Amino acid sequence: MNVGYGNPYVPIPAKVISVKEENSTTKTLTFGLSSGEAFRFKPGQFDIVSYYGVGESAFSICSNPEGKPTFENTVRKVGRVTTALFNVKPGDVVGVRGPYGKPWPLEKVIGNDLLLVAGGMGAAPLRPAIHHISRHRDLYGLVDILYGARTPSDMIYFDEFDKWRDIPNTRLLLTVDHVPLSVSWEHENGMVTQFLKYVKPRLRVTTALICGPEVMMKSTAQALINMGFYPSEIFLSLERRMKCGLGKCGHCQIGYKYVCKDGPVFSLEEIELLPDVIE
Amino acid sequence: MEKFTLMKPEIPLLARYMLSKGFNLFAPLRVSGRPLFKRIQDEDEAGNVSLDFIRTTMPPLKTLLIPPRELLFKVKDNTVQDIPLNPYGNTVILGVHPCDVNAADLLERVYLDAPKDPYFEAKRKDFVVIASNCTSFDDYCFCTSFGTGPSLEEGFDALLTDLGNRFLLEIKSRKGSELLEGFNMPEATGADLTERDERIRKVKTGISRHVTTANLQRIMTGALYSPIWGELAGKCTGCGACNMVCPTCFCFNVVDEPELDLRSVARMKTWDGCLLWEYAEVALGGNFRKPLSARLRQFINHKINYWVNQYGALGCVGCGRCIEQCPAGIDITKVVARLRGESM
Repeated sequence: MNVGYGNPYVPIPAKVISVKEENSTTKTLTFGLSSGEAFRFKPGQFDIVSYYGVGESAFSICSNPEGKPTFENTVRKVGRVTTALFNVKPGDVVGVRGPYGKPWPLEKVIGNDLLLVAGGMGAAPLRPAIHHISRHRDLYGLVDILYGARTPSDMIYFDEFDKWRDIPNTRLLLTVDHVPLSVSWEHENGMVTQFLKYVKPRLRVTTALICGPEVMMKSTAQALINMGFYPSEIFLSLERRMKCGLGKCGHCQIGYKYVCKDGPVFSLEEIELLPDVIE
Repeated sequence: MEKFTLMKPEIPLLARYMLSKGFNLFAPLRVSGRPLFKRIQDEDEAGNVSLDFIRTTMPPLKTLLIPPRELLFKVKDNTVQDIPLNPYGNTVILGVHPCDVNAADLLERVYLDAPKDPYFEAKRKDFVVIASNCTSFDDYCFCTSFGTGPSLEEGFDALLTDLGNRFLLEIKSRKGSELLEGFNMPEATGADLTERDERIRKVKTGISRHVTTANLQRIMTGALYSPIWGELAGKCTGCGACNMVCPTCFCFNVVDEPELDLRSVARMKTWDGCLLWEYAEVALGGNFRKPLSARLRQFINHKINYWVNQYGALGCVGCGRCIEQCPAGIDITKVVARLRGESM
């Protein structure tokens, strides 16, 4: 469902319901449409949020797709729009368009084991998939979640890890590249790719869903291919500059694909031969 | 099609007639010696309209259908205000050449693909296009490679052909005949049509610049990692002139411009180009086309490779503008010839 006034460029008003700090540069914002309508989306889709006067940016929708009528975006202050959004308060009004894009193929891989690999902010588009798995646990086999970040404080959704671990037949492996001396860290150290071999995914019945920095996705996909995965069994969520989400502004093109409408979720098979995939 | 003739000095009369019917008129004028599509302000200016030109620097239909700076909407106190989708109203564009008419047809594939762009749609519906077949050409022209010129069969409301001392005027659509009913012209004769065909044939056979389109997509895909891109990037300045003058380049940015009352914001759509550094930049300074070679490869491959998969047609109409305007002399036709191993 695309909400709007019939003009696809015009956002609809949404109110900031709550703001949760994930770390010093990242917050998760909960929005509710001012109309009271529910914002329906599928795990892996994105929306475009406007802070009028500053601009609009695309974000993964990171909340439970079947929960409340509200929805969430995790924003990291890295630019003008994200800094404006980082500073919003409950009650503030923003504009929202979407949802856009192709979701994770969760409906097509029912019965399979799932291997979710997230890097840093890449946990955002995977979080609705984890909600979906938790709610429909019997639809999938074994589930492994590998989450890596630069340092412990770069991880988001820290307070939800226990809930993820409590999902039946689900393992959560956390790893960071670097632990500052002042921080206690009882999990792993190193790149997520180092831990793939411990997961021992069952070939031909496992689907991998990956989101993170492009170099991390590249090395993860490569490691999975080396383990015997087919490119059609590996799905990645790509980030590109986007100005419209409508397949018009041109920015998100990779070869003949538009990330906004043909993606952002692609199988490795769809994109492996395209130019400019990896920075 | 109804067919008429009018004498050359009657073109200003035709322009004045359109103004008198209440239309906004965009037509070619000479400004500092260069032809330019301009909004015709009054009867005096209409007197200077001249269809005697080969190519304007800016493509007329793209520039009007997707303006370089277009207001998407205004927001006041966080509330979106209504704005007209076509601020030009009823508009005639007079003297558009076949390559530019065909380019607008290609833009339609992008902008009217679901979800439709309502700004483009409104203008496309309201605009009356009086095209002009090409009876002259220069060394930059290569429309014959794509079948996008020098003459037209469709995509216009009325069509002019320069027959020397007079024009043939063919009316194609209801919009065209409604616009021109009341403007008295003698009917064309068989001799006028023969002369039209002869003049167009001369242009067709005269144009020598060429792109061989057979298997073009396969050849371009095969050359994605060719050293040619690095070599050309050594000359390219990354200025984006090719993007700006290309009649099928459609990329844009969306930017907010706060107004002085600090309560109102204009959300603008502004042209962007894939040759520019910022085009593929993402958060934290990431950029998926950092090397100029990747950006140049994107521009050329988008036109003559990716377009086919995306929209079912090649995205170049052979207008020659990118070649004429490139400060580094980069020439899409030479790139193709080299990749094909053709001699120039």
